Amino acid sequence: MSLTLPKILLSINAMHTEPIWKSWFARHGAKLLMFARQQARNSADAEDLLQEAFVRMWRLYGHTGEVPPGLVYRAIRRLAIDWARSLDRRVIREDNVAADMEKNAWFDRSMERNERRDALLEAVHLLPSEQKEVLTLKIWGEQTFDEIAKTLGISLNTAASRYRYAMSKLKKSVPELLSEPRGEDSK
Amino acid sequence: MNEFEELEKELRSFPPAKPSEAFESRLEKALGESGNLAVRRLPELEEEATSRLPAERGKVVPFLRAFTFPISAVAALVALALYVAYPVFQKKTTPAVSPSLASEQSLPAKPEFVDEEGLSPLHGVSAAEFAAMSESGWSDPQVKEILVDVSDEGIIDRPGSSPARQYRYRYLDETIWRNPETNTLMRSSVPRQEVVLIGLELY
Repeated sequence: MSLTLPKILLSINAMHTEPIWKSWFARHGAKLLMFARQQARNSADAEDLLQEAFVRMWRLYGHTGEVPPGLVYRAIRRLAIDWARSLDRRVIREDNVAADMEKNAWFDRSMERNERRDALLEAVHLLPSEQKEVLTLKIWGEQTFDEIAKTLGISLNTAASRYRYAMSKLKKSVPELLSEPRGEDSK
Repeated sequence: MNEFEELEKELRSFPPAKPSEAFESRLEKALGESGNLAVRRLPELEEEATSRLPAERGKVVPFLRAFTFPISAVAALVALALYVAYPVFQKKTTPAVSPSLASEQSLPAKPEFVDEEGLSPLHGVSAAEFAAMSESGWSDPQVKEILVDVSDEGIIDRPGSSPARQYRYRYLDETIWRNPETNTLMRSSVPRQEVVLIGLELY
């Protein structure tokens, strides 16, 4: 055994390989970072949160080659709560102002900007945080309501109703803009 | 139909900002060796291997696809027949040769590593490369236990006993082999977890 295992490891080293976490992170990294940005005080903290959560989960389950993204979302959420508890409230208030200024960094800046997009994203940012986090996990995180409920520690019904409230608010906020794609589709 | 379908579609069309390259390098550093536990072969190498004979590939592959199952079945039957017949064959041939020669013949040079076709059992490593690997010179492995995480999973009920607080310890058992001759270092990390129950007294 002691001779066979080194041989196997040697031959694996000899092949041209890439760690699986890189392709995993290419698929899920942006969505996770967006959620971390929502949970953290600023971009730097969001990156720290994501790093801590991802490294913990990958060390535990990375050997399988696939880690359910839901586990990393949950770890981000728990870490954010722990970190917030250990911080002074005044610091949090000041940083929330800075976080508001960074909200445009949530989305890919290379996409075409227009009035419609800006209005919709502004409406997303104005949502209450508990609705915004459900919306983020559902729309960009592609999580089910069951997974969202587990991540946020709420019931499935609460997750679903927060989502409905968020979507209704967004629809009311930009009703005239939302009529545009319907018109194009009907042609 | 979902009343928010259009709105959902529109929101999904706004892609979240990608993490910076600097952040990914930071992540790579933080992951360390645990990042290399699961790896995949790079696709360009597989393409290189399959694109050597592009003209022939189109003809051969459909043929192979159609006959894969029958060929596999025949190969399995032949292998089974050889396995069953081998001891009988040995009994018949042994008296014909001297005992010492027979023992030499019955022990092939690399029986566990090289098969009948001279192929390596490891994908991507040739038989010659495999045979060239040094078997000697490996020093005793160093074994290390790394505590990754401890979590308090709360109080649990135990039937017929007092409740207990459950702690879960997650470890990485790391083994390092060194070969000073070839200046090679290999590391294997195996995750492990332990559950510890601490009994609670009821008042």
